Amino acid sequence: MRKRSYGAGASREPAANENKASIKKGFGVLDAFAIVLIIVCLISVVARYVLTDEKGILHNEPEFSDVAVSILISDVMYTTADNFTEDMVFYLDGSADVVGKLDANFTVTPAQYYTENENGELVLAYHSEEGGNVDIRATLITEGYFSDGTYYLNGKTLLTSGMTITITDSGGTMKVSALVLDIALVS
Amino acid sequence: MRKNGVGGASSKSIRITIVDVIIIITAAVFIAMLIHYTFARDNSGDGYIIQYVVKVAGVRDELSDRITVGDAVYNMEDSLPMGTVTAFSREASTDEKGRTIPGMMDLYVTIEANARPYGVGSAVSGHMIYAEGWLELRTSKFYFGGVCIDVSR
Repeated sequence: MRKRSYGAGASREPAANENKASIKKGFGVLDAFAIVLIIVCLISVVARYVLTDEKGILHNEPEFSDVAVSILISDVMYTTADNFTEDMVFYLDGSADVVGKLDANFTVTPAQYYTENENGELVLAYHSEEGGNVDIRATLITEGYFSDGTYYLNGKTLLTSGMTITITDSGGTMKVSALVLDIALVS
Repeated sequence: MRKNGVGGASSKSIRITIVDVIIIITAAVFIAMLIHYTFARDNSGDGYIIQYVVKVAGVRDELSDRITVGDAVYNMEDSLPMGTVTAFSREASTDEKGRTIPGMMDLYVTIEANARPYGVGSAVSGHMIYAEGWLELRTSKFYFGGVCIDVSR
């Protein structure tokens, strides 16, 4: 069947030329551009994962520093304060993320509350020192880094003064709310 | 010449190869991205400046000086920019009977921001700003939640 089309030598040459022409038409500068583009994309994807992993040259996560987070735990039972010991580790409630270790210098004072004086004005008063509720001012030594002045606890949890965080001890037997008062690098 | 051809048009019929398909897809994606980002930028042209005031009630005195004029403000939830503090004042907190609460301050934070229309109101970084609306905001060093008490263009 095919032989019939190649029957005449004169008709074979134009056919071959036509094929060549169609091959030339099939691969142009745009095709080359597309191939280059695809190669660049593939290289970029590989580079994204290779160069930015933990050992990669583009890996730029800042180093963690020791950061002192001052907290105020208000109006808790004095028995809670009795459990506070130096180097006690606190965790963020609901996670296994360590917040930090309790610094030795924490203070326990009778908890404040408001009452009326004889003129009907609100005044600060304090619970009894014997068995009354207490306020605990403490410092937790945490790890994290600052980015644009904002502190990221363990590199992931944003922490600023004014926030209230719920923390637990390692046994999960104590859970308290702590107001963050201050955050500063440990010198 | 071609005897099988049905006129000149078919002899020049376009053969679409896989490379052509890739080119078309690449070009389409490129154009779509171009349109997307062009529109995103153009939309910012619809924006306008608003000022809103947030009242932060009952802040402990020792924390009441943590905001300063010029501080950048972010949304607490998504950290998107919510403007810049242009004015700041504080006064002693009072209870429902008007009595001063010792050691507690109310903060009034005026924030200027680029806003965009959102329904009949305004939104900053996608968060609607309206009087009586509750906002949870932060600067780089201080978190504050409060009620928006005034919005003006």
